[in-house]
Amino acid sequence: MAGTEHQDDLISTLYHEMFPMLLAYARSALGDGDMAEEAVQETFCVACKRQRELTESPNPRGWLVNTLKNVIRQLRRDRARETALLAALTARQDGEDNPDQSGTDPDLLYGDLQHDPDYLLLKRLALDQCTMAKLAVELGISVEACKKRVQRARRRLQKRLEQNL
Amino acid sequence: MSRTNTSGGRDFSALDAMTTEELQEVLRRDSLLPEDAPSDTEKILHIMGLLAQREPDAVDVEGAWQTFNEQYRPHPEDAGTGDTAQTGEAPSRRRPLRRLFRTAAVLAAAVALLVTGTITASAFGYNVTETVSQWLESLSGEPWTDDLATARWSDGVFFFECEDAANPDWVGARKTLERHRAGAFVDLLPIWMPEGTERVDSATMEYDIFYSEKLFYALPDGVEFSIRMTVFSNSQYISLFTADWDGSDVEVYDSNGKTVYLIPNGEGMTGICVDDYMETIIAGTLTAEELQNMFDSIQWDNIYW
Repeated sequence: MAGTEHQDDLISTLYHEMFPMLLAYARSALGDGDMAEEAVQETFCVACKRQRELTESPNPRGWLVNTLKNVIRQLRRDRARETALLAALTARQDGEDNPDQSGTDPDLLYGDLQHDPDYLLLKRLALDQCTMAKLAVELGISVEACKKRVQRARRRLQKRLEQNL
Repeated sequence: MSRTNTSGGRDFSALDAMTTEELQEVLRRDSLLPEDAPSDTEKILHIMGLLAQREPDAVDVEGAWQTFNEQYRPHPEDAGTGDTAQTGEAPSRRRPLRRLFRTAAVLAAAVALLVTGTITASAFGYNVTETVSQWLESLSGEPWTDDLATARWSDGVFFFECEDAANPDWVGARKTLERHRAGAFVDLLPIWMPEGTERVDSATMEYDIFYSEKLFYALPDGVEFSIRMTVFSNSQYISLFTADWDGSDVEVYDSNGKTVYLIPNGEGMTGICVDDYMETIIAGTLTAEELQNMFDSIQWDNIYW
């Protein structure tokens, strides 16, 4: 138990010391204030999950910087992938007027897109630039649960797109 | 600002003279570097400090800290750290390395026999038939299911069956493997591993219905474990998990959107993650907490090939 308290103290100390600096990096990288703060918060999430790794690092501050960089890379990849996915789905829906050579009714495939909860979820993130924290509040769930829901939504939409290409 | 600033014996005073926009550009470019590209962390930290000092509006750290604790900080149930994780070290972690390798070889042969039926009974230098017979006799258990897969024992074979029998991802995965072959899973290996972990061996298996890579690791204290990643080309696949299951309760938890089964396995524990087209097995004399840390550190997004 004492070890856990020590690790919590470490997280708290590093958070208060490093948050402004990490935020400065994230703002330089991402521009947007909300997204930047989310990246920093996510960085400390990773720190909590890998406390042992952080504790044993010879340079915890450097560890946090590198983790933030990875979080930013991941954030960029996620948003790019979500945007591309939504664009592909929307393009398919826009092409509904064209006969589908496979004989499948496009309405059955994409007609309900604007009401699809998965689509709307990703749209909030990728197009509306909503942060995960805000989305979690909107959905009334935790950020962690929201992340998992987004992951599942992305996978379902990806599968839906690939199955009907 | 004309002060001379040094860090770790290095003179960063030139950075002090740069404008905020110039420093931000340095950080922006740094953030765009590839993951494996070298980066001057001390210099970056110094710039971050300068920018934080120059921030016209004081950052509300206390407010952010409160937000972090209320909204972001992972709870134990989110991190998948249930009772098993709180027990700390597993009762026994030690198992001779040779035994693990021998078991792995036998199990590889067993799977090959079950899948293709083409490997002779003397494969891998062991009496496979006898060993497999003993293993099959030891199997028992009831099926269980979850959202992603059904696991069951049937005729002495442990099956994981995916709910989607016509998943095109499998075809795509196979095509990727055609291109990459050895090392196809290198980007999927856990980032976190127990301290002192060293890779000691590796093996690949390829048959009509799957391609698999298995990496063997050892720790300084004699603990050893393996990571096997397999991609299947058929939805009705036979899991490569064939270790002895003692019938104890199986813990199921969500690791970053993936379902992971933690299965007591003789002297250690085996973790299995079943995806639509891929199976990841980490087995050995590891604790549940170590397994969870490893699964949680896998960058699953890298499997979207």
